[in-house]
Amino acid sequence: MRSFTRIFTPLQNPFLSMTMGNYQRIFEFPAYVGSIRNSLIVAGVGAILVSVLAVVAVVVSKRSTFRYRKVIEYLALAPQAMPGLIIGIGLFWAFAFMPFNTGTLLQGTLWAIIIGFGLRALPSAFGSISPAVMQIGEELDNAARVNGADWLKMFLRILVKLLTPAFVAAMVLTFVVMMKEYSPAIFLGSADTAVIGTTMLELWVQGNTGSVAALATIQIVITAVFVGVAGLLMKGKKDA
Amino acid sequence: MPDVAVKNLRKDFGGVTVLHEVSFTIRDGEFFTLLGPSGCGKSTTLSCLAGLEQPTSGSIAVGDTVLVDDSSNKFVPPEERNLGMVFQSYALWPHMTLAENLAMPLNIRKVSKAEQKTLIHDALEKVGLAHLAHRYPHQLSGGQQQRVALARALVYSPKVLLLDEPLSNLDAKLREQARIWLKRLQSELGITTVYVTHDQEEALAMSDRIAVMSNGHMLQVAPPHEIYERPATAEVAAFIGRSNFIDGTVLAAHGGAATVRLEESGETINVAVSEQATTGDLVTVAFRPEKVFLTNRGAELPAAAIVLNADIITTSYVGSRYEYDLKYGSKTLLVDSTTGGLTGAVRLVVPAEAVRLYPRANVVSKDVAELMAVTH
Repeated sequence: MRSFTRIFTPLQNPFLSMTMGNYQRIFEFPAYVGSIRNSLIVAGVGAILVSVLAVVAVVVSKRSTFRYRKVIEYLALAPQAMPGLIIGIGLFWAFAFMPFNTGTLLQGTLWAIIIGFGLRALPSAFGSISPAVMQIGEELDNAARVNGADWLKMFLRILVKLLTPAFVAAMVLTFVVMMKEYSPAIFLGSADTAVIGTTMLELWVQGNTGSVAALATIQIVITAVFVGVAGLLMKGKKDA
Repeated sequence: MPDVAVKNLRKDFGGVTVLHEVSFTIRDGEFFTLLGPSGCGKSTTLSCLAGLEQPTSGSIAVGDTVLVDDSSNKFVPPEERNLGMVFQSYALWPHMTLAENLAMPLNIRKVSKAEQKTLIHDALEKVGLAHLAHRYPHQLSGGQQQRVALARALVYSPKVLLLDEPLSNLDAKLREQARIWLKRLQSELGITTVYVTHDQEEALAMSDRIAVMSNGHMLQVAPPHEIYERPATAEVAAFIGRSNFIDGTVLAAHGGAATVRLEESGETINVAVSEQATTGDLVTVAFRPEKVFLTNRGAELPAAAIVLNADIITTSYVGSRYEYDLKYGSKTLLVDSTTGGLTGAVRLVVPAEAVRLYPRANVVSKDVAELMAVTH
């Protein structure tokens, strides 16, 4: 409601002050449009990368005989307990101290933000894939091994196929999480890499609450569309 | 098809030894069963054969091919062993049709499509499911899934077939049918088979030879008849079929016979012994309920039989026979009989050849012992 009105107050009928101005302002400034585009890139690329990483982490921690498999599980879940700002600052310093100045290649780019947001989203992706892996009986793996498949073939032909639904679910989840995320970006972003979250923060500070609401609405619409499309895709797959 | 030779197989899990230096040889084309209660190490042995577990030490060879050898640090991974295995849960891949399930091992072996087609059809034909080739596993009944799992294990002509309790998820009637069917299929194919089960009836009915396992030890390896008639230890006697156990002490031993005083009653009996027994040995006397019979006190007695005086406590009619619970000292003895209606004080006649003598062992679990103790 707020996004479509000039002013939102219980003292006045909101339909008297209807406007598209809030949206207009956002779409007029390239920086604001850019932040939407950035958010989409970060969430899109990040969702794929994080889900893949989560699958690898889950499979290693639940299925392999790797000595430190428990450690991997804790590492993957740890960011859940960490405030986003801390992750942002941590990565900021990590980039600063990377050898041969390789950090500068990342600092201030969208990649930095993808890494930061990705870390924040990893625990939820891990959490959504892990039960799926545990549900697939180990005998299915073993059967493939005895039948002549080495570990990689078994993984590609059996586990990957069976994990696809969980993988898509994890991707949707991480997309949504990364779409909403903003705190690590405060330290990792630059003027060119603003995402919806940081732009909202900026607009709020400026007092442009109408545009904040408009951006939030856009964010919700993107999320809803994405979830809807993913749902349709999965449905199509099941029928096939 | 080659012999399977297992030597000094040992497996530790975090400080606990679940397999103690197990050795056995499976002959070419033999149906070999690993039998024992859960936790006895039979499944671990099978996993070591399949390569799904790495033994702590020991060696496994199929024919001339060494699969595992700790002295040369050799360990062939499961995918290179060319063995067939049927899992307890069947482990059919749910996202593939039956034909695709069977095609997987052939694809990996780079068998041509045309040949795959005939192999898959033949394998499914063998288990009588060729008409369901394009169904998914979840569309089949448990019995059908079990047969598909077997077809998948056979489709690539493995050297040895490993079966991990494949019948335990079937209902009782179906299990009996499947048992006969599986045994027939195995002897038709002549494939060396290792079968793991905790069901003694299954083991006795199907096997050429049975290895009875307990607590990671192999107690006896012998054909079914010998396992049942001449159990090597009291544990085997307790696990296979039903047995009565009475503790006793050897009073005198000479040649192939021993005089034993039974602790429950103080009665003395003469028993034939196969192994060396010395005076003072603590022993357990064992006999099976169906090998003995009951007479009224005062009736004529056959020669060369052991006679114990006991009292009938309860009678159960189980259809094909009567089962009597007898009070003997503080113990309950189980006796089968075809005649019903016996009550009170009876004579328990045990033919001499039905008695087995073992070193004293606690083979009856504490719970069972409590249930069987007669306190009144």
